[in-house]
Amino acid sequence: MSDILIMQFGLVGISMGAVYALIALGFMTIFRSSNIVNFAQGEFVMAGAMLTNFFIITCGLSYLVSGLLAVLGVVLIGIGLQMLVIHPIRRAGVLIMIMGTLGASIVISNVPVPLSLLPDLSYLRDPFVLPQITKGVEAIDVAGVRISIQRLWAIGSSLALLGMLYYFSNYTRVGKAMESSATDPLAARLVGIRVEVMVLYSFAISAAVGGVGGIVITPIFNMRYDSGAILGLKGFVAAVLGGWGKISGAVLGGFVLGVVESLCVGLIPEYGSRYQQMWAFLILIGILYFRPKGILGSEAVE
Amino acid sequence: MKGLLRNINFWAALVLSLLPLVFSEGIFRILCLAAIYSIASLGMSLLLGYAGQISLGQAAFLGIGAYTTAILTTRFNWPMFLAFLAAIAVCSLVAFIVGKPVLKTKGYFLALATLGFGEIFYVFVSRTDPVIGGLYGVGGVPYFAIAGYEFSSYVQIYYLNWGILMGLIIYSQNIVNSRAGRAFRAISTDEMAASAVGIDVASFKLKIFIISGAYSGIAGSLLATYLSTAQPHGYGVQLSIFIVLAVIVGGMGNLWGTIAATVILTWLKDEQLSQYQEYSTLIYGIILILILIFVPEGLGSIGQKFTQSGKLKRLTGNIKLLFKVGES
Repeated sequence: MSDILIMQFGLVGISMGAVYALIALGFMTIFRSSNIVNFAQGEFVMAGAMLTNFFIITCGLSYLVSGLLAVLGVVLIGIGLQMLVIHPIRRAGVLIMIMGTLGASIVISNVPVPLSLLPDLSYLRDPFVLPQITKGVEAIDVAGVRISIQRLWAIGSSLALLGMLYYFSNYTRVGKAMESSATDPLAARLVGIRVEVMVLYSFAISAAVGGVGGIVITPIFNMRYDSGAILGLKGFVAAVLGGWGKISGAVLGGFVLGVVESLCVGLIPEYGSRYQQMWAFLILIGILYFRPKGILGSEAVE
Repeated sequence: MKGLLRNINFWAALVLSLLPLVFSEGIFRILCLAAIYSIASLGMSLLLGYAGQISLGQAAFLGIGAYTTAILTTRFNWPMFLAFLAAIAVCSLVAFIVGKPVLKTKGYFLALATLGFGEIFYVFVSRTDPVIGGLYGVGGVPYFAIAGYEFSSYVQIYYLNWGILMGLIIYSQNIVNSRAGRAFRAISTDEMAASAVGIDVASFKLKIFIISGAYSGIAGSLLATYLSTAQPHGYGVQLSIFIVLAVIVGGMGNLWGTIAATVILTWLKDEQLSQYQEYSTLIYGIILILILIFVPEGLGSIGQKFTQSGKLKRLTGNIKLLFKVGES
């Protein structure tokens, strides 16, 4: 019985971890091309889900079209964030960058609040879930463990995105150019790479990744306009846990964080689920104390 | 230089103590609150403005101070002043325990770790029902009192809060102008160089973290007696961001600037923006970003830029020219 229970919670953790991995990947995409940590990363996830919900309910579009439009919208938010906030403060140092992205996070997450005053949009303030991506079969049983199809969607799509990003950053010219513009901006500029454009690309890609994460997780996760911040922080924790600076670290950290968190919630009686949002940060303090480099080791953190 | 500083303190104290003669009670509602937040941002100014260490978990220390005071006075019937001292002690202890692992990191990671600490505190207090009351918190905190004398009217609380703040300013100035203060500035500029000249970087960082935690504890304790309750929702990330913003607007390493900035921001947030209700947080976020884009070095830098860029000279020159034209 308890073995099945552990497997069950482990599976829930893997699907949540898939989204943490996507958020962590978003952090890494921006960091690897600009050395910036974008504290507004979680808002991309929220915005992806929120826009999809908006297109389905208010515009009456189909799920697929809504999802595509939402990802496009999130990419525009990402580009806007880079041009309006990040670009003007790019030389001002780490502190201003942290505060600037946090400010952007406040702004993005609070846009739905005044909009909800409009006559037909009051639902924007409420928690919501998106419909299941595939209808019909809800879940399948594998050796007594129940796997909902939606969780498989979350895991599958994040693995697919992972593969695409890995290929993009290691085997394409643009991907390499993006990385070189963080490693040595001056040298990158000298060989003809337009560093600012690369940073803009990285925000667009990272926003798209976050938006997809929001769309695949929201059928199994209650989303609200202010859920983005905590999701973003957990993605950051995942990236540190796996080994900051590495794409593989971000992915591994995401899944490990998801599973450990889910096991804490499921297996610690009473307190586990009550303090659900706390475990990730306790893990963070632990990892910073015992192994700040993360699981895979990172050169960025001493 | 030292004489000048003493003068600023003196003049500020004089003006502040005379304010109740001029203004009616309404303004003191916001000034009492501003003094409390100023105490926290003063601690932040030492930590961030002098030692260069960011903390985005400062709200948690205010919360710990507030909850300690509230619980000890209402559940255990401790006298107010003892509970106040206990709040400072508990905050210092927590700052020591948290600071030890967290201060190993810097920059983005320190920001994340302190944010995480704030989140742990917030989740813990809002989800724990016995003793600390979950989302509803602890109510019925008595007024601040020393040896039977109770501070109950706005003007009395105003004198109390600004009195404590004044004491802490002088204490902070002493820290800044001491050997420790120079060590903090050295750490902020270059940790490697600081440790090369024999400064124990880790222990100094921990010390300043504990001091700023204790300041926040004082602020939290006063906030609990001022609002007569301790509730989780006042002590989230927003408050931590607010305190850091106050230090940025006031100018790094500028104690009086930080306090002026805190007063302005408190007035803006709690008096002006709150009337826009649904829009208030959005507008606040936009103002935050605009400040960072246009005055990242604080309001004090505007005047400096103005005089240094020669605009002032040109302006006075033009005025003189105008007068000459007028005469002829």
